Amino acid sequence: MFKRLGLLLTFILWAQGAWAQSDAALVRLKQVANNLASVEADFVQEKKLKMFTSAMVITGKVYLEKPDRFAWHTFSPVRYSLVMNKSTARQWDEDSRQVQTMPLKNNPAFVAAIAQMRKWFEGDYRSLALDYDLAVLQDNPLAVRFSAKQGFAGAQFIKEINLFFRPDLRYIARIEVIEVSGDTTVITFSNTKINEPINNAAWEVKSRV
Amino acid sequence: MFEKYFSRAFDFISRHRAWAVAAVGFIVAVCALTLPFVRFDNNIETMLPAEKSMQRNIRFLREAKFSSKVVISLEAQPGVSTAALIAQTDNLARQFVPPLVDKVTTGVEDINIGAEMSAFLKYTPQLADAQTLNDIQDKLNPDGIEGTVKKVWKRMLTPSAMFMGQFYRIDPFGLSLKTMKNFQQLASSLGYEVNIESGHFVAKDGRHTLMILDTPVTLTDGFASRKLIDYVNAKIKTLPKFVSAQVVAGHLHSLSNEETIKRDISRTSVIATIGFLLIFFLAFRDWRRLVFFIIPFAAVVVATRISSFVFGQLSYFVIGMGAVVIGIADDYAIYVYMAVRTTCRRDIVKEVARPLTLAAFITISVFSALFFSKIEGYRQFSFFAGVSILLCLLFVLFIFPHLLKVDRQPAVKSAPAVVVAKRYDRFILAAWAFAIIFLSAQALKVQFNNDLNSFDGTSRNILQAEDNFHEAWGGKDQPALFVADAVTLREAQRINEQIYFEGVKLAGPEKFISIASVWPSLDTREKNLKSWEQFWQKNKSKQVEELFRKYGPAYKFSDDAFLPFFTTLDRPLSVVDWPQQSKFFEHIEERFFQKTDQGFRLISYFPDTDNLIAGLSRTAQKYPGAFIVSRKVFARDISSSLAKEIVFLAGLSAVLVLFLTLLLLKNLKLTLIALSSVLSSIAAIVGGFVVLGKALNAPAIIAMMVVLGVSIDYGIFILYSYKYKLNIGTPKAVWVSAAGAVIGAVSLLFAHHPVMYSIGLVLTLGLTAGFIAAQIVVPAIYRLWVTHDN
Repeated sequence: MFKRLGLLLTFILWAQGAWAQSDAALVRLKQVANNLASVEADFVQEKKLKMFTSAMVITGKVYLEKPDRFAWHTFSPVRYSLVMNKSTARQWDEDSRQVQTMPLKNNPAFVAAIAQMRKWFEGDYRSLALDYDLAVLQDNPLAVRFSAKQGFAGAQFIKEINLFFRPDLRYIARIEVIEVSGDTTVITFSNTKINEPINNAAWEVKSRV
Repeated sequence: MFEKYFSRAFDFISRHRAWAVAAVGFIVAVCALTLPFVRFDNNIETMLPAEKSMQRNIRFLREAKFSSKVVISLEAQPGVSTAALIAQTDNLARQFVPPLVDKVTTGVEDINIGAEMSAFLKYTPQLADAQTLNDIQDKLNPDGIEGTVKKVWKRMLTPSAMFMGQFYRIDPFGLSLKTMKNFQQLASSLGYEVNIESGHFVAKDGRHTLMILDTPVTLTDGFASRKLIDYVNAKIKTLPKFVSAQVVAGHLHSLSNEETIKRDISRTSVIATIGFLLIFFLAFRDWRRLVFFIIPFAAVVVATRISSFVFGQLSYFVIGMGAVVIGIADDYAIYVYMAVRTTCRRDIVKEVARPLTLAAFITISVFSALFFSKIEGYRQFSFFAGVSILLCLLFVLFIFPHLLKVDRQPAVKSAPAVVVAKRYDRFILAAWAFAIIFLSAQALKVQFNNDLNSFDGTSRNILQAEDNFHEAWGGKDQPALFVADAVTLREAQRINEQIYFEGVKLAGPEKFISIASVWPSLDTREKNLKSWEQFWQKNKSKQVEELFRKYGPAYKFSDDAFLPFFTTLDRPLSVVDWPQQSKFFEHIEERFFQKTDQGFRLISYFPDTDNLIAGLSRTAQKYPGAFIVSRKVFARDISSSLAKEIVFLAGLSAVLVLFLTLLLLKNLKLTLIALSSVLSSIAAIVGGFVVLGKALNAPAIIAMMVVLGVSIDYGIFILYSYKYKLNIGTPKAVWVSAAGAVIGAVSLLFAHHPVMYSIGLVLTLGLTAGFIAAQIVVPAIYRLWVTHDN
């Protein structure tokens, strides 16, 4: 009887502790997001997908500036650029060598996917916490796991997303996206510049042609 | 002959006056006590022309239940996160419970576009038209497949692939892109700019959320509307300081109009009461004489009861105009009072009965014109006003004299019969003619404004809140609706699809929003499915799969990279009424599809512009059960129909007045003289509106008809007293009744409600002109024209 009670108490204390820990983590993450106005970083994205026979590795540079500027430039395996503002997206790739401009209102699926990604990059964690359960993987440097909640529409595809922060907690060092199918995507950031002026060339697609 | 029969009836009642007074008192008391059981109706349909198209629009709006919603827009202070706002939105939503709120909607269940399109792509075989099959056919060769594989690979480099990798496996040819674009258009069909975040409606600025309350409280139920709005406001007060809320609801318009009218009534009542009391004090110096107000009031009470028996339910408009009827009917009591008290004879009534009856019947004829109206409310008012005036006339002639105390000496000094000396007659006539010509010339520039918004007395705060709402959420320019009704769903979808094709030709695919753009009719989908099956027969899919396997490895695609696509080809879904398991479709379905009592209804949306309305109205005529609902056209139809109706009724009442005055006076000269007061009123109103820069509207013209009825009374009373040289205090009676009526009218000029103000302006201008003409112009013309002849 006492043993059972003890187990129950232990469980309650553990649950309370876990809840308090994730809540505190959320507060820390919110501070990270609040202090973020712009980011410039090199990235390496490694996709291990069932549709490919081997891992797809993409290297490039990402820029974001709140509230609505975003740029994604890849250098390998092909040169590709995407620059977005509030209403339009412009793309260019070295294969076609054509700049394609598209109004975002005509591409809802694209917009929805980019919006999801930006939430992670810009640190809108409080909003994400509505759709994901948060757990702390490690305290220092901070690492957290967002597991898709039951009932969240995205849970059909996304199992969990793990964020690994830099020791100074100013930005993410690595993101891991683990899909229900077992596919994984890992993005590792380096040379990250936080809240520093971004060169105008970053928002140009043509300059890279 | 009239005098003979009237005299007999009057003498009979005089002999039994106690019984007569008691009987009338009993009837009035019974009617007054049973008034609470009279059913009133605030339905706007009662006040609209009974034209088929208009009634159909009203019925559509009622069935759509647009009005039974209360919308709350919550706004976070700058710096507050969207997530915190969403949390407060949920807190508030939980507080709304029945019976005042049936359902609360704060958003839609989060929709994953990838999952949604995966589900929807299973219907590709029945959605792909001939053009789509041709496009696929063009790619079914080694170069085409290699290009397709390369395209998918390049898409995987984009950041969107982070969450949409699976989607490309299902749709390597990008068949869904067109459908996706159309889906987006369907979602924005009402013109609102709404994002979905964590299943909540969030404005594009990220600082507003939206909550929609479904309520059983109807707009017309003022008491329950007040309760509902108080309830909503009380809950809103529980929000923290960093979140504010604005309410948008039709109920607020009803209540605001009601409050404005109530405030106006209080304000105008105080002004009018002070004015009346001053006049009566100046005229009679005895408060007890106010008793003659009871007579028209009693007549209106009995007439209300009789009208309710005849019509079942009475429009509030009828009762609203009751005060006007009392204002007209009290003239008869004043006239009789003056005659009895001036001559100290009760039977003087026998001498004044003829002009009184004449005046009353002409006034009734003015209102009887409304009985020919297509508007139910006007017909009710015509009956009610006619009965009220008739009863008042009977009470005044047969009961009222017996309630008056008759002294030996005249209690009321007669005013001089001649208000202005005879030597000024020519000058008066010239001045009057000049005024009439001047005002008539002005009247040629008169403008009519029947925009229903100009009748709206909603407070500025509420209108400002609505502007703020539209600023955050868009949707200021509401689209017009193209409705297709049919008994079966197959037929409704077929008609809707035809309308879509024609709508796209006229408005373009981005402006004509129809569910047919993503979900064609059953007939079309059955045809598409057959074509699809024929297209992929003879192992075509196997050959294409081989080509993918051949060109995929160059881009490191695995053999089963596009297996989900080929599975869809092998197992096409059968044709169904609506897509299954599509959350997005479930959310938009209500906006485009309704099950009605008669069958099925499909709705399309397009910009509410004159060109499109004109073009698409021709399309609507081709299909039985198809019609257009346009806010602008609806308002314009009501305005034009009301204008036609009012012009017809005003013309009819003018003809009736002329005819009856001639018939009863049996003299063209006297008729024209009596009508000079009416002519003066009309010229003053129409010319006065132009001079003051105001436009006439439907309520103003109805008020003008009332003025017509009152002015002719003044003219006839004065004319009679001159013709028969009666020294019975008529000029004073006219003076008192006109002064009372004008004060009532002037008090309306202090009203804030546009309709009340407009009526007040008409009454003030018309009654003042009618009174002055009756007192000064009628005697002058009479003396110049009739006395000279004699």
